[in-house]
Amino acid sequence: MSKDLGNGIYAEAIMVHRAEIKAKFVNRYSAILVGGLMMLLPACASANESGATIDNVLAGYQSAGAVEFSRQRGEALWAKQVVGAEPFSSRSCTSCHGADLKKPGQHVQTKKTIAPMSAAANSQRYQTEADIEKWFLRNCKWTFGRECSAQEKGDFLTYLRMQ
Amino acid sequence: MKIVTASVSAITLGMIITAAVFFSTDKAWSDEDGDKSAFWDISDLKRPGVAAVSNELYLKECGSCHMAYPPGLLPEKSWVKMMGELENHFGENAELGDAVRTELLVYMLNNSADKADYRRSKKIMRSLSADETVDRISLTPYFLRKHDEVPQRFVADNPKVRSFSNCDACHLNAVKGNFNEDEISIPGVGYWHD
Ligand code: HEC
Ligand code: HEC
Ligand code: HEC
Repeated sequence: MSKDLGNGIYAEAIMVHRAEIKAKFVNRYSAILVGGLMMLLPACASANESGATIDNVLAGYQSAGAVEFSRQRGEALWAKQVVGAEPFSSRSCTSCHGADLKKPGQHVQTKKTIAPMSAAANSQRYQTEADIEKWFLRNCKWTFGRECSAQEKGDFLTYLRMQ
Repeated sequence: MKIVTASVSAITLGMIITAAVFFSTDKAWSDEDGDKSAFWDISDLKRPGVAAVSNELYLKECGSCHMAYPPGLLPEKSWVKMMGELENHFGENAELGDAVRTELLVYMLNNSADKADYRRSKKIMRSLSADETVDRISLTPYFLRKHDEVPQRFVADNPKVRSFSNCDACHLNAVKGNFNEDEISIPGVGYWHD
């Protein structure tokens, strides 16, 4: 990701932002945005069944080369303790999500409550592929110091959906 | 002669009204945090507090690990820096795709402390020196000055607070952009009396 603040998306964002102020485009944009959102509203007003999303994501992992997914492997990897940098010298998925997936977790650093991971206990879970992938990326890097493979992510989801 | 008197008294009346507006505003706000500004300082005519977060995407993306901090609490250059190093965000990984990042940044820059017509945003700006870029709200001179009477045992040594970053642990209406002194309750300690 670019750290060069003078270039790329930052320059673009700043330009957009200045242009907006100048021409008072903000209002127009928000009108369009609100209009767009209103049209989308019926489609996303309530939480969807997470099953179809998870099925799609798993199919994607399989076409990326993953073999059959295992709930047991997912469960073991979920609890696996890994050595990390101080002050969080021992890290695992349970550091923030806890061991009981039906109960809320707590962010290890900020102490903010994290809603239960169990799809059965929490109907808001696993709504979009983008969110699932965003958190796998961040959380695998933080916990294990690397990205997770398609196989590992599939095993995690198989475990998480069955709880 | 009559016309001259009339216009002189009109001007005098105008001056009295103007002065009254300035002085009453000054009085209404100076008690709240003690550092009274000169009566001609128009920033005191700005809205009090700081703008509450009004953007759904920001609430979702920047409110999952901690409260979504109002963009009016830091200047543009701090936000730009932060959004360029999300993979290492205060010991956390908060990385985002470019499209979402750009959309967030546009909202943040439109509402940053250097743009916001809110009184606390102006005060934060005034406390900062031009040549440095602060990473945290809790490291701005304004913040440090406001919290220098809050002892460590209420914060770092208090498991229910743990860090000054946890604004909403103490400021009951932080999510509304409200940090008034009479709306503070420190967990395990109680309501704050100066
Ligand atoms: C440092 C804290 C932390 C750790 C450690 C952590 N997570 Fe998370 N995780 C979060 C937060 C915060 C969220 C988003 C909040 C929410 O969805 O309620 C989240 C969300 C997720 C989601 C998205 C769920 C959804 O509804 O889309 C998945 C999947 C996930 N985590 C998997 C993992 C896995 C696998 C691990 C271990 C490799 C892990 N997490 C470790 C903090 C953490
Ligand atoms: C993956 C979790 C996570 C996400 C997502 C996240 N943050 Fe943070 N943020 C943290 C942690 C952890 C800290 C450090 C808290 C502490 O020191 O107690 C922090 C601190 C901050 C601070 C400094 C608070 C202070 O002390 O003044 C700001 C400002 C901030 N985050 C803004 C953002 C913004 C803007 C976003 C969205 C782009 C965001 N954060 C998304 C985890 C996250
Ligand atoms: C440990 C509890 C605690 C935390 C956490 C905390 N504050 Fe405060 N804050 C206080 C107290 C107590 C005061 C009043 C101090 C005084 O009167 O001497 C205060 C005062 C303030 C004031 C000035 C209020 C006024 O009217 O003068 C502002 C602004 C403020 N805090 C913002 C923040 C922000 C922003 C955060 C998070 C980045 C934060 N605070 C975190 C306890 C806290």
